[in-house]
Amino acid sequence: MISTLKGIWTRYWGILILLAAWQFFVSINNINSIVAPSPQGVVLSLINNADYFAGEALRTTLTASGGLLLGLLLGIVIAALAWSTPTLSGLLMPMALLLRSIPIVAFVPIIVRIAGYGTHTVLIVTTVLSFFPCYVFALSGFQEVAQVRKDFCRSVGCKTVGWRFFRYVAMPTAVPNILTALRVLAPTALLVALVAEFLIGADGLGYVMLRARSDLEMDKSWAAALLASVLSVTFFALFSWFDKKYRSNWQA
Amino acid sequence: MISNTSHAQTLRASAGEPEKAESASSTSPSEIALTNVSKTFALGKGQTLDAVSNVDLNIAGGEFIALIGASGCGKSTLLRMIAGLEDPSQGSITIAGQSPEDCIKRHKLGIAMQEHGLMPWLSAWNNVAMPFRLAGLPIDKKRVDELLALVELADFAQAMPKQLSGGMKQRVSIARALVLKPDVLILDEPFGALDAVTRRLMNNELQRIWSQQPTTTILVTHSVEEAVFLADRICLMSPRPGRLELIEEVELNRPRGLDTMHEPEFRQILAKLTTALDDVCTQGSRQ
Repeated sequence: MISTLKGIWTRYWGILILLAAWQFFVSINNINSIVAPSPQGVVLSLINNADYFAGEALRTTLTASGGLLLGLLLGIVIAALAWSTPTLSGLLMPMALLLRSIPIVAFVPIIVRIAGYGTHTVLIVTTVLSFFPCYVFALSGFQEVAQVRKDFCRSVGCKTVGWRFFRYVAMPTAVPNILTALRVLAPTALLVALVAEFLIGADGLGYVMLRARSDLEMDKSWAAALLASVLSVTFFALFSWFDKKYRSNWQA
Repeated sequence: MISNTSHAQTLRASAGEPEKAESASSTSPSEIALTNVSKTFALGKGQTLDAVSNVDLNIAGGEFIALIGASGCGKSTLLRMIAGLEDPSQGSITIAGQSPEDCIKRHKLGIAMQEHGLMPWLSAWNNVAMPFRLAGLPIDKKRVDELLALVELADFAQAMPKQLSGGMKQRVSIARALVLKPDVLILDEPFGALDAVTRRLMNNELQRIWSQQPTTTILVTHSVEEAVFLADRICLMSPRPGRLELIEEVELNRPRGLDTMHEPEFRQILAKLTTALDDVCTQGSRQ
């Protein structure tokens, strides 16, 4: 226990120094909490509104995870189609690239006009933006089957196109790539969900930030931001753990 | 040319002499016939590479053939053509009178390579069962168990490839190649990445496995010792473009064991082939 704490301290003591400096700066200069709240104020705001923050954080987490998983599924299915039909891949790649290259701030208003204001639109935006990296990672995974394995498959009469090869060889080969996609995308999905909530005004941490700012409740706004970054790090850590756990079975 | 090839069982296989002196008379189901086989690769910009040139060879059913030669001499290319993984540019290859592709379609061909190519996400058992899945056949569980027992890995059935040693992985790979009861077994340097001691032991294992499952086998190897120990006949290939320079019969009694390597006859054939290989290689480098 003590050694764990010590480990955390040696790794993250910089954060504590930063917090101390922040508190010190705000107290010494007597800065108004409308300009910059103190760490103490932010923490107090979190504690005093625990239920409220928990509910909004849960909503954002669910929307982000939902969008990530839908994007992943869509990415895998479309990548499988592109893998099986090279002509289709020529059609899908530019479309996927186009979707990805639209900045989110430009993209959200367009989707909102079509889909309306609400959490479902946040879900759509997260799905669409998760889709492309999943598609690219999955497709390159499907195409990464080593020559020696392809030779083996052909030698037992299994063509290296077609369903059986895909199911037993190409799909499992892509698993480490898909794990990487998840690990890299998890924090991004959360960020996208936050930005979409912020822009649309849909419930969630993004909207908490927006409303607290207009109400000049800076401690609340900062608390939401802090919570969002904690969530983002947790997401990353969770999927990194997941990745590490399953990837080891892919090393020959 | 090779000077010391006066041995009665030695002959030169050359272009334009289609008559074959090998005594492959019985028409066993897995007889393999190579007629005037050549392979040319296009390198781009109009350049070509002659990998294999005018190979004539008849392999009897149940025979164990070893292909030796300098690296890059086209041994593996020849093997890949027999396995149906590459088409000859010229000439024809038949297995029991049919094309290698037909042989593959009937699941009568097994291959094991230097890179074992096991699926790392599957246990040893599931790797051996893989040919059934890929061929769309129902899994014969008894056969899979039998093969794992044959390569003496029954206790490691549930082990993942990363938990197995290099030699064990190769044994799984050989079990996998044999699981569909192939008529032809193709081995491309299966023990090339193993250390010398493991390699000798694996050769002994392979010899045992082969004698229990007599299968027409073609082995490509860099090791003359391995070839003499395992094969009925050894084909020596010249440097690129690969031709058959010499075919040597190995008349050592079976079953062969590790002590076979100490017999004077073994040493004699080994010395002769090593000299022939060196001759062929130095000739190649002088050209």
